[in-house]
Amino acid sequence: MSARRGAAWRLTALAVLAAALFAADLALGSVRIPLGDVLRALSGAATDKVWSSIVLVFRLPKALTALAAGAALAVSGLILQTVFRNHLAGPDSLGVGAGASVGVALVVLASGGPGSALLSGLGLAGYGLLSLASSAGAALVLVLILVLSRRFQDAVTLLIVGLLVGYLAGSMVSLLVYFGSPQKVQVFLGWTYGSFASVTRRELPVLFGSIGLGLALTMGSSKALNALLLGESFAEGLGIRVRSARARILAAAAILAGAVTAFCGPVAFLGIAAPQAARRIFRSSDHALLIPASALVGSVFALAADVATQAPGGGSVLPVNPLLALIGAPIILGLFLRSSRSGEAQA
Amino acid sequence: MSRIFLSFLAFIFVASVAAPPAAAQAGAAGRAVVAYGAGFSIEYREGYKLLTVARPWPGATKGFVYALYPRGSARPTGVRADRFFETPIRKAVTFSTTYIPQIAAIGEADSIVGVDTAAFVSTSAVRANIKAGKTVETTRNWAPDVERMIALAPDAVFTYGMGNEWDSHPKLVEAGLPVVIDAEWNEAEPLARAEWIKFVAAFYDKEAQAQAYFDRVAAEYSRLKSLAAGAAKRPAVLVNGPFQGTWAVSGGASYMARFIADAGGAYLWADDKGTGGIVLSIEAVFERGLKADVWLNPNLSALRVADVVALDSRFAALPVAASGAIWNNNLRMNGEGGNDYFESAVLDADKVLADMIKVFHPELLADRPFTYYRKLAK
Repeated sequence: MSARRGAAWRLTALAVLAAALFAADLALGSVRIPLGDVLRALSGAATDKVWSSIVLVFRLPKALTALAAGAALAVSGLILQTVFRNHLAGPDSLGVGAGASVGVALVVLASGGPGSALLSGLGLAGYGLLSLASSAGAALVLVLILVLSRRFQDAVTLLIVGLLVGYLAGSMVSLLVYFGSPQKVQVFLGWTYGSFASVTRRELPVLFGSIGLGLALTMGSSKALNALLLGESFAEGLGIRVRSARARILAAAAILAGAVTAFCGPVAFLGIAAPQAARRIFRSSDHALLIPASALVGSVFALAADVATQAPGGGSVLPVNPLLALIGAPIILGLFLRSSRSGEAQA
Repeated sequence: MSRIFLSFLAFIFVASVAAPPAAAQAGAAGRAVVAYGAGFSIEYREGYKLLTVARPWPGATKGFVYALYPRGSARPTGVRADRFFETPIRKAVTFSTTYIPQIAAIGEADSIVGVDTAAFVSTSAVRANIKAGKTVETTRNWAPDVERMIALAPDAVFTYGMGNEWDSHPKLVEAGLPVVIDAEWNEAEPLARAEWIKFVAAFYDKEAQAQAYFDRVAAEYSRLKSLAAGAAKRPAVLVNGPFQGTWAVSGGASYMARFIADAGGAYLWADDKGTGGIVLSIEAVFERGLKADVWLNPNLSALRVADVVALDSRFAALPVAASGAIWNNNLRMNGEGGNDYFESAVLDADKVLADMIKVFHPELLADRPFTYYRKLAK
């Protein structure tokens, strides 16, 4: 079996797994709905209106969000790891997550005054303002990094800059938390748990549009990414304009991570872990393969975690963020152990 | 044999002198009786009274005992207590707004020298004292300002514990402050919560006033409850609102559930056994919420139906949202973020019940104005 056919087989297997988890995410929920009725609801032939709206209004957007968010974070992580030539890079080390957190913390914790509209839940602002603040925070960090990336040629310096920006944003958040009232802090902490369930059908096009744009930018840069993996001077030798390519790629990474954070909260783990798993599974460094592979692995993890949120039963749910690492970390550790045993561990 | 007999006699003697049977004293002048199941007891003994907080927080393994003796008299000996207090106390600090109306109701509002968050206070006498600088804020950045409290030298610091690492009372005790753990929040019955006025009043030797106030509340509550019991239809009630894909509702045996039942409503989670809250997936709430006739407390700050729809537009599809039967308990905001519902509603449980009855069965209390609830504007 050739390497190409092996990769195709693995991609298919991952896609099938993602599809199965997607189906499970639609079929399982707090309200028990027979599989037949789930299918009838999806085909529009449902007889039970309540079940039909639960499937179409709640479960379908949630499953689609998990699918897209998983893919987006994984790809964002993959390209950051390539650009910074560091496998510890991810949306968080770029400061994107921290930037989004500052935006949300400002909305939730620092606002107030007369009426203290945010004391319970998010008040009149609703989630619209939250998403806006989150995107703005992520975008601000991105612009800062992009400006600095023109100044610093070296990827390692840029990674350190990203870490510094992340620390800066993180300390702003902890100060805001320190001065916030307990009720507001609770709301903020609630946001940090992450959730795929709060995206409505009206919001889906925005989420999918942003992620689609990010993925398209990334796929269009797969050659540049492959070249960057071998070093910036090598890439320049191949005729790639490194600065503009890097700016384009970083923009894609920030759009992907920023959109997900805006809608789902700071979903941790996937950005760093999914690309690692994809590299271990495919043993390739070709981005034309690694981009779809990471996206699929990310979707699989996100969907699996979302299915697991239903574990308590009886209508109760678990937060998605802790589940991601709980499910994902052992699997990735297993992949690492296997590849180290076979002596093919990649740096 | 004779020794045992003698010890027995001695025991009888000591018991009869030191601890007259509480039941015999019940209801006597100036003495309070705990009759609605509140998780504290008051024992009147010779020369002192013993307050026991049995359930300071859920799952607590031990309670708190406070010995109160008249100012100027000798501290009772041979009594085990977490803290001794000379009564009546003259200066108090409160760490929950809910204690303020209780203290005000027995005519002691001026004794409050410190409050945890000045902006949240609604009781007018205390607000005036805050403005005049006679009552100060005793927290900084939401943590107790121990130095300031020591300087205030209060006779009692009324606070509460949750039984977790966030509790500030151990630190206050360590600082030598006269901490009183008040566990009214841990009660699942509205009248049991209101009954804690007697606990607070014991520190002021004003049990008679507390008893009188509480008796009025309890009598009115019971009158309103029987009024609601006669209603023909029991509307289905949905509570709270969505947050980030989840929805926390009150447990079926909670304080809120009891109010709804007593007001003649049918709580959608009445089948649940919990006294606290339960976090549900939004689809689970949506399914039951379809049956709701009334929606209470969607969000603290919501004033219009559109504010509720903004929380999650999918819930606009609920018939209760379309009909506009959404009510919020934020009629009495103090303009600085304080909501009197979270202050006086604990004591004035009858007024909360009246509001809910008016929401569920408007015809029963047509002429009565609302105290805490407002219908959201279209």
